Amino acid sequence: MRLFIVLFILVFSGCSNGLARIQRVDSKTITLTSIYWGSSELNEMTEGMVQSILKSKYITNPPKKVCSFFKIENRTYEHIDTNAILESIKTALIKSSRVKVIDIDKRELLHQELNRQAKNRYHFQSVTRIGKELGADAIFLGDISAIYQKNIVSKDMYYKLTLNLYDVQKGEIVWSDEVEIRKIYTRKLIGW
Amino acid sequence: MKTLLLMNLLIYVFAGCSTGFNSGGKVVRVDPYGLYDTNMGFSSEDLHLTVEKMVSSMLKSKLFDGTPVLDVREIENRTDEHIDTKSITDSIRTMVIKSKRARFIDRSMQKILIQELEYQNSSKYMDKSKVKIIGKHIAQNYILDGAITAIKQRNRDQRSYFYKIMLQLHNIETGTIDWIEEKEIKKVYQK
Repeated sequence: MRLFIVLFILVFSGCSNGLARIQRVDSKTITLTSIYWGSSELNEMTEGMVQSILKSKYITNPPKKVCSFFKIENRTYEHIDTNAILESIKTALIKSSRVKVIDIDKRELLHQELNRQAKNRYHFQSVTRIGKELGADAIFLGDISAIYQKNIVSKDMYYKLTLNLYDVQKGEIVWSDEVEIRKIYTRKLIGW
Repeated sequence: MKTLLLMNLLIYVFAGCSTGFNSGGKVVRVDPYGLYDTNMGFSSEDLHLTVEKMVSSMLKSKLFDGTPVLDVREIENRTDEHIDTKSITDSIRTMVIKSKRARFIDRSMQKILIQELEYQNSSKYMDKSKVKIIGKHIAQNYILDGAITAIKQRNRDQRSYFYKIMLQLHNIETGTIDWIEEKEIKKVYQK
């Protein structure tokens, strides 16, 4: 009986499988939980892109450019919310206040409100006026690709995020950059 | 009976622990340019080596002295594995744009850009003093395309993979191929 108790203690203390512990960590902490897409990759890639965008001549040359975001195509094997990447980049750019950002797809919504205000009687000073909208100088388009490889002991994942900026008037790619991340998982062979 | 229970518990201890600790292994971040050769397939090393050779060859060519305007088309994948060939041309394009030796347009994006231009020039909501002008798009001089092929051989104790990536620039005006380059990669696996 005593042995039983000892063993039970061993089971629960040695392998705290059932007793998981949840811990809050800083959202920017790099966690290498798996080789697949994670928040660390999202943060690192967007940060790299934003830095590169803000350094580019096209953006730094005045006047302030009006940019819109089209999409990031997901060409990897897994589900990645690529809009989350775009949103992070967009947030950082707006906060830097060196770029003006518009959303081409949301224009109709704004027009509806403009028309409503024009039709109804509002205080004349507070009414927004029609004919002040800004057009895009340039549009972002990108893609994310991956190469996945494995052998008996390890798995190897490589991610590459490419982002291009297209000038609307010239039709030309005026800026382009890529950020790469590679992770390798090695299986433990001995020990516990 | 008692020993059986004990055995069961012991098994539980070891089985439980092995799923808890052992299966974990370790994930590490590594340099994307490092050589790891995880398997024989087309890897990020191969991608980098290909891009490097292609870009350095382009920048050495006289054609790039006059900042030509390029349009990237598809690299045909004629191998039996899945290779993201757009990743190759993406990297080449990014590096060449950074070198400022050539300019790029993108036929697949043209439609979106023209839509925006037309909207800006026709919408009553737009600030007319800040509208982009139609008719300023630059035209391409060259089309970039290519192909990737593979030859894979194996016997009882050896496997060999051979990749050949070919890229070429078609001169739209004359129809001639003004630049062409090949990158060969060979890997051998010995049991």
